Amino acid sequence: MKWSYDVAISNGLKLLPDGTLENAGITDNNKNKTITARIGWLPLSNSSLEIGASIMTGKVGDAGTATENLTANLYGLDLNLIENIKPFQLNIKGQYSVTDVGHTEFINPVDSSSYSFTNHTTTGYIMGSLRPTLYKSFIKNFELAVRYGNYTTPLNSIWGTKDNSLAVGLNYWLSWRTVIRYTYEAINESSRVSTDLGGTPGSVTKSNSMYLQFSIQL
Amino acid sequence: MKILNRNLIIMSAIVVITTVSAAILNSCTVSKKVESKSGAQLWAENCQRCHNTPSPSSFSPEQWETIGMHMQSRALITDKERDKIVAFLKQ
Repeated sequence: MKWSYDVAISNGLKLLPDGTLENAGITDNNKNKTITARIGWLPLSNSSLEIGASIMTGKVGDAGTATENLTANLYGLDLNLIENIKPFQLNIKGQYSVTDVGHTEFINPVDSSSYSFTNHTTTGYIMGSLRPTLYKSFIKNFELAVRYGNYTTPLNSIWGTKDNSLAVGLNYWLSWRTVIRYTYEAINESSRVSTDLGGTPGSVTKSNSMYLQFSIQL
Repeated sequence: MKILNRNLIIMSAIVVITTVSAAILNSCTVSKKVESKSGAQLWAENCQRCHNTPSPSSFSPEQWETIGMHMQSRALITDKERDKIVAFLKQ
């Protein structure tokens, strides 16, 4: 069994006028610092399973504005499992995270009135991949991968949406860090923008994509 | 003021939990089961958690030394485990 831990302090996140967050980067928007911490648990002696929990907290508003003391709290859970089931290698990864930002008023772009919403976002994914690593021939270079993702942004915000995505891919590893990927992805996007903000709540946009990618990991 | 207090409590809790966890973790010793493992086994188990494992011939012995130090902090392995893995890769 092993434990791992990480702690970091950074300039952190910055609140944008629509309620979304972005990295403040080198040019900070306030004097506050964001604290990030993660603890990981590897219960098996071969380190094949890791379960992690993380938190990030900090003030995100611009200095000298009404949102100066607004806090964002982010919580996350993650999982990584890698198991050899002869002749395959199975890898399962997943993550679920929640973002909560304090209450404030925003400007409606339609009529310039003020409005507010519960700034609560959730996102998560789970993916699995299978690779016949113990085959001697070129078959061992193939990898089948499936990924399901969900992204739900705040109801009645200008960026409110509920996305579900499913991707299925077949990879071929040319070397340990060079891969050709063929992926099919289907995304269902359901709007959560209120009519007051010019949206059509519940309207669904479906998209299907195919990707052919070549990647070298440096 | 309430928000400020709440943040102070959250941050204090993080600092206390992290400090206590770090103290406990630093006092832990590597289990006999892990200590008895060979460099090859540790290499296979720890590296493939995050990426495909390059073969030992992919890099020179000097490069493996540097890679070993760099990857140790990412894979969260002990000095002993790193030395065993690097010794195996340099063979």
